[in-house]
Amino acid sequence: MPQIEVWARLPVAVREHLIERMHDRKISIEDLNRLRIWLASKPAVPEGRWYKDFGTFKVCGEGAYPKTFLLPGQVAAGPQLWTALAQIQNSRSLRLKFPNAPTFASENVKRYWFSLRTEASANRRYSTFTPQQSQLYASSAEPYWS
Amino acid sequence: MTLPAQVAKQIEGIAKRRRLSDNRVLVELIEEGIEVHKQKERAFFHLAERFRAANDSAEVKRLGDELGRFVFGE
Repeated sequence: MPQIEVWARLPVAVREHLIERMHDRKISIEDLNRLRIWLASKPAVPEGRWYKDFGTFKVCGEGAYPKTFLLPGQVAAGPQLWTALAQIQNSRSLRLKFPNAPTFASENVKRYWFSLRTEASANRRYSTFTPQQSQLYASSAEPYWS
Repeated sequence: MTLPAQVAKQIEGIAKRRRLSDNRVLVELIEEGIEVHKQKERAFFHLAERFRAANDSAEVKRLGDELGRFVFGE
């Protein structure tokens, strides 16, 4: 998969068009900064047409060349690119690490329909509300001679 | 956190030269990295605001070209 070309390697006409579009005040500077951060990660893009949404604009390209910036109402061609977080190999472990529900609320949440876990204690195999340790302690606390 | 072998070697080299612990070198490098990141962001916003405020077409082209290099890389 190609990577997006740097500014100097873009055709002059494309550069002039992008400058004109970037000057549009409907495109926010904060979102342009998000585009800069995304491009700094050297993302791989498809060979054909693609686009990525940054809120106040979409950057549309074809292969290694970004072609234009579209405003929210305008329709872009090709597949949408998502953030790298969802695409990285270990995404499943990240999902487990950062659950949608906050920790305390998750105690009574059955997250998946197929899950047998219904309460927080079920997350730990040997943890119960009435742990055996206390029983052991009670028995061992008795005097030896009784 | 696992560091790539080459980076870990460089960290070790710096730590030895400066007689610091590897962790101390890592903390310093991260702090410097964050500062550089902040400076770059400030420079970006400053340039973008100048570009948006420009009215003269030659100035728009010059600043736009600079902003393009900033956003798309050199």
